[in-house]
Amino acid sequence: MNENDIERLIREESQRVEIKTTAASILERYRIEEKVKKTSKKPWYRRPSFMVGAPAFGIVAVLSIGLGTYFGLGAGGGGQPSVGSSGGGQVVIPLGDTRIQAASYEVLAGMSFIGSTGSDTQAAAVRRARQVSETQFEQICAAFDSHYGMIATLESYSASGFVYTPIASDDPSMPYCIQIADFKFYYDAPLQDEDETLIQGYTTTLDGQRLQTVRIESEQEYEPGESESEIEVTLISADGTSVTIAQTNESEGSESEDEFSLIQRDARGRELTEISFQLESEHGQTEKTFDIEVSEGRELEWSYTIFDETSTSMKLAFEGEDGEISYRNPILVELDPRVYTYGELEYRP
Amino acid sequence: MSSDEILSALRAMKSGDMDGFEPFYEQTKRMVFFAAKAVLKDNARSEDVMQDVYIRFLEMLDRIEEDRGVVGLLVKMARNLALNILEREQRSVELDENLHGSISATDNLGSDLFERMRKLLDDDEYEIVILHVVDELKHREIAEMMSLPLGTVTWKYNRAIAKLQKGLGDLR
Repeated sequence: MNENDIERLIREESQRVEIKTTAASILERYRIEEKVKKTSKKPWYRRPSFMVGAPAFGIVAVLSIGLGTYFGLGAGGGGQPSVGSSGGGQVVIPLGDTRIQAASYEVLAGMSFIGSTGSDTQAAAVRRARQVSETQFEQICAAFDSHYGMIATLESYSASGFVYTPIASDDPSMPYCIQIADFKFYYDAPLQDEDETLIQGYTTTLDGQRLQTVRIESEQEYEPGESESEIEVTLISADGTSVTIAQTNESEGSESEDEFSLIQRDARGRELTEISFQLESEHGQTEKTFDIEVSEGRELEWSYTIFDETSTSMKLAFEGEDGEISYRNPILVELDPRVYTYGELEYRP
Repeated sequence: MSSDEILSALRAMKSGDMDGFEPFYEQTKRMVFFAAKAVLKDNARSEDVMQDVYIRFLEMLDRIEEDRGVVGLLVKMARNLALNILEREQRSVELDENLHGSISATDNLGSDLFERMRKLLDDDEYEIVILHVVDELKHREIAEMMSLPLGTVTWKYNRAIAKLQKGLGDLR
């Protein structure tokens, strides 16, 4: 082979190397970063700590998202036990190749309990709910405690049955990595202002294949007797598709309102799917309403009203258009003194 | 690669038409990716660097002059960002084995030819060959970028080609 042959070989081979990143995903990341710059009320500053509350909530939401091929959304109780006692369930919506899972109200509600009250009872309940062994739970707590000095937040992680493996990194922009099941989550140190937090990161498979870019923005305000919080999680896949999940919560006394939305966009930023649902709770009664729009204006509304703190059964009422909804695989899990219900709501367009 | 297409896309972006980014990216991404890979040697981190380069590029779009060699600028940014990563790693007292493991694993996602080149060539030779053959930089531009005398770059390149001729003979 002469020099030209060698050069030709290298050029040909360079064309075969697959670059997964798309122009759309870069543009999306750029737009998000620009948006954050413009909307930041105060300059971010770095603090090597981790917050209990909305950011932890967001992380867990992301962890749910990253597992398997599911995207997940957790709906917490905003620290209100009355909401947390509701049954919830799982909403599984097949959308082409991507199944979007909005899941696990109860576990995340339990996290809110832990975050706000540190209740041993709730911690135990949540632990049982996800079948995390006592030993594993303690090991994870110890690891997290030594890493961040905040056991309560770790309980939130372990409560969802995750294996937490903090991995030291020399990269100051990516100071920690969490290994959960078959995925690794690299996260930037939270950028925090008094009531605002930004966390950036990405997920990979264990062999390093990058899956998604993750951005979590949250804001919360607390005053005696009332609170407001917002969290937005954006996941950008290597193919440019993205999912933005947002939650707002307003709580005052025994009343609480949560609103969730999930928007799936294609690689060009066009909205494919928008799903939103609301939870209103007062004195232990929770009403949930789902509004779903699946591309091209097809709409579907779901609603069900159930649960009080002592209920051991649930009833579901669905109203749908342009699709069938079924409820399947209900599993009752007893968690003294409450009953939690797991199952899946499936929408077939 | 068409420099006219790149320039046309750049003009579109500078005038606010971000549809120009896609053709611009498609025309330049391999050069940026391989400029990072020439330093970092693995695909995953090179792709990360590539993304960061384009984000920075978009942030400074208003300040980029059309008559400047925009591809050279991107390649230089990629190389500098990749070198920053290497420096940080070298300062590190200890890198977690798991992290190393994940990086090593990604190396195998690259092509066999580049793996073999890595084994046959030293770091400078590997980088010079990539920059010259894939990124189409002249030896003079590489010398400037790497702060090496032109003669050294030419000599290293010729030596690298000789090594590859010998080591890759089975591919003829």
